[in-house]
Amino acid sequence: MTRQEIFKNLNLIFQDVFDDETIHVKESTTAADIEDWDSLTYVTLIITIEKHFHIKFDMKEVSGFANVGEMADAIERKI
Amino acid sequence: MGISDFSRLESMIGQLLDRFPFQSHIAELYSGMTEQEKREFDSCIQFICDVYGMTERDILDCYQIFNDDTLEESKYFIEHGKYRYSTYKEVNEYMLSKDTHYMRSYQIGLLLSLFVWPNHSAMRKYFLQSFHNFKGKLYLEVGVGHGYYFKTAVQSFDYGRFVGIDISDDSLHMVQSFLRWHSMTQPQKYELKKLDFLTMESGAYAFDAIVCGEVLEHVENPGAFIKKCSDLAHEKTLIHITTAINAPAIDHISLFRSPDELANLFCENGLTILEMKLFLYRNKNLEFCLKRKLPITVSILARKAS
Repeated sequence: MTRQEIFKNLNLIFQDVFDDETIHVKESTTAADIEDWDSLTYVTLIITIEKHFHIKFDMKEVSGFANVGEMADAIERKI
Repeated sequence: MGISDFSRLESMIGQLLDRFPFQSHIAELYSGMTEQEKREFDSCIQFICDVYGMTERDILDCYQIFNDDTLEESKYFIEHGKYRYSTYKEVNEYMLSKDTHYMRSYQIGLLLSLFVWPNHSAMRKYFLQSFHNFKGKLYLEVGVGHGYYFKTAVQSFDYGRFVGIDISDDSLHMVQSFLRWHSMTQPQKYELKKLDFLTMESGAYAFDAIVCGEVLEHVENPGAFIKKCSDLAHEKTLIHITTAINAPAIDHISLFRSPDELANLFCENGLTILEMKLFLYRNKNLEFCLKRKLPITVSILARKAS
């Protein structure tokens, strides 16, 4: 899967979890850019990403992602 | 005290936001703190540095342990609809699998959360005012944990003597250190004991206040726990119990799913609720929180049922 495809999938996941079809994430997107992105929605986001890409995250690993780009890096390493 | 006196605190808030980019609420909470709250927060940090020889980075590591474990349990809760463990034995086995500093790190992380988690911060503020109009001779806190609430009670509440109990040596040591660090060394004012609340003899004490902060979710039989509060109370004893609904954590074993469930539990075990206050997740409404199983912190003031 290319990075572009990962982002295409991530966009759909973010839109679903945050119930907002206008969301378009990019490498530099952070929690500050999306309303309602807090600890619990983050957990829901991680669970949805795990199911979608058939991967598993350690919460220690994901708690430090600085932006969506780092999230995509981790997905790329695991798929 | 000028703003520059909080430079260490501001540096720690900055580091917290760097480490936990999705916890932007920390900045909001900090900007809304009064000078007094900042002093309290800073004194907690200083206490940890002085007593445990920790650096700011060590303290942030403790918060990371507490935070990561709570996220892991939140994930489990969302996926399975229940808490991971339901017995003391399971929790103890988990704790034993960790290194010897784990419990202390967890308590320090929990102490920080009183200032940087919205629900815990709201409860911290509410706790002080909840006893504003009450006074008496003997005050009991069950499960003193990190000691912040016990210290606050001894410092601010209008009771003659304070008794704190816990089953953990580590917690009792931390609380004792916390009180000493605050120069609270009067032996006639307070007493800390290693004791299982359920084994306390009814009739041997005359407590005017019984406080159980965030303990109920840690016990296997919360009904028996509430019944014990009722047994130890006289008709005017103020009972203040705080707990949490849908709030997974590694050592939470009793899951409460709604305020009604809690109200029934109190009623069935000999207490009359005077006031139930809910601290809802990020100010969402109750219906939304219950539907999404979002955490709700609960404060209940009660008396022995007549």
